[in-house]
Amino acid sequence: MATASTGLPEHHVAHHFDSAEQEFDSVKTGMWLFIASEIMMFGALFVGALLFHTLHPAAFSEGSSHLNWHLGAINTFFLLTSGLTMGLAVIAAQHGEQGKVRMNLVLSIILASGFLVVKTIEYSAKFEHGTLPGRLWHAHGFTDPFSHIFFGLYFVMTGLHATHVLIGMGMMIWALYRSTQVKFTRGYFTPIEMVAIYWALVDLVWVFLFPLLYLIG
Amino acid sequence: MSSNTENHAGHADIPGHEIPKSTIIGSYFALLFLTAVMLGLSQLNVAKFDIDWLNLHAIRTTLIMGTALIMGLIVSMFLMGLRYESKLLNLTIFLSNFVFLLIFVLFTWVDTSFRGEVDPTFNEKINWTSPVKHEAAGEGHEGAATEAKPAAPAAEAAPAATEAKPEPAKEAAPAAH
Repeated sequence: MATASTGLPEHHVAHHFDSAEQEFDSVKTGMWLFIASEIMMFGALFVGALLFHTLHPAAFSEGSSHLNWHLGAINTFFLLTSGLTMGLAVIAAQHGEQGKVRMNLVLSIILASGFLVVKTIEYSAKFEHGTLPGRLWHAHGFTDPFSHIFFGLYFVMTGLHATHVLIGMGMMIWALYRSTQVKFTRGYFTPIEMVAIYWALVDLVWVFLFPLLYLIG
Repeated sequence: MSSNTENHAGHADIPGHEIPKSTIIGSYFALLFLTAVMLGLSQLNVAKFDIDWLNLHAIRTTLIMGTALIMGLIVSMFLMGLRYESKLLNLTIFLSNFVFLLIFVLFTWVDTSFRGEVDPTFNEKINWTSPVKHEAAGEGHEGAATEAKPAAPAAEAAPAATEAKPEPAKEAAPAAH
């Protein structure tokens, strides 16, 4: 570990900050504001789902029964485990263990890819059955005239979430690159911490999305 | 500001907080356990229990979403580090955000759940004819071009559309190939 981190330059606090602590806190406040806006964006969709669930419970029940909860559970496992590896990456960064940071980032990227692979399998089944949103709908065998609304919400919500997974993976790759440019120490672990917070948001959204779409109905 | 600088210059300049490894691993296993609880609840066949005076389905839904809420708290407290956040500004951002979200959810829920009690035609209104053509109506191909218009033509749609018989929008020609 020590050999991996040797030779890398240490981070210097930007000149417009008093201290490393002030620099970190500024970044974190920005991150919380961003997270708040993200929660509001997903919040609007959750409210939409709640609205239609209350108005057309039978449509939601029917739509939900066409989702494979086994695949959803596997994806929950992938996301929660990647949340763990990101948490461990932050701890490793705080301890200056550059090698462990990279290992945990790579593990997180692999788990996130696993999530997307499962999502692709799910989506392709939906495309095959024609349970597509809005006027693209051409599914057979549904009795409730509003079941397409469920799948509209399903695609918008899981699609937006999967986009976040993709962006998160991009950020992990960036953090991986960053780990070759600068030495992480107890005084500087900001990139890893921020990626971990973003990833926790991806977890947070999924934790509600999974039961809402797959389990209740 | 300057006294701050003095302070920081004197003390060890340590940003953020260290979340113990055991906390992270503990949260992970708690989350896995709660996922299992959620799955277990969802697989419970509530129709089997023959209880009329309790809406077991609603109770199960509440329990599942309650479990999700606990999981969400664990994620935000320990994985996002909210538990260790000491800056009042950051806490205010996060918590006020949730208060607004709660207002958002609560008002929508109250409106959709109880509007029927003040507006007797509400139940008819929500059964508007969707322009998305369902297979039961015929060919099972795509429906009309435009998006659903919420406030449906109540006059002709309402009587017909009370149950699963959606008439597709009139302008959609059946043979659209």
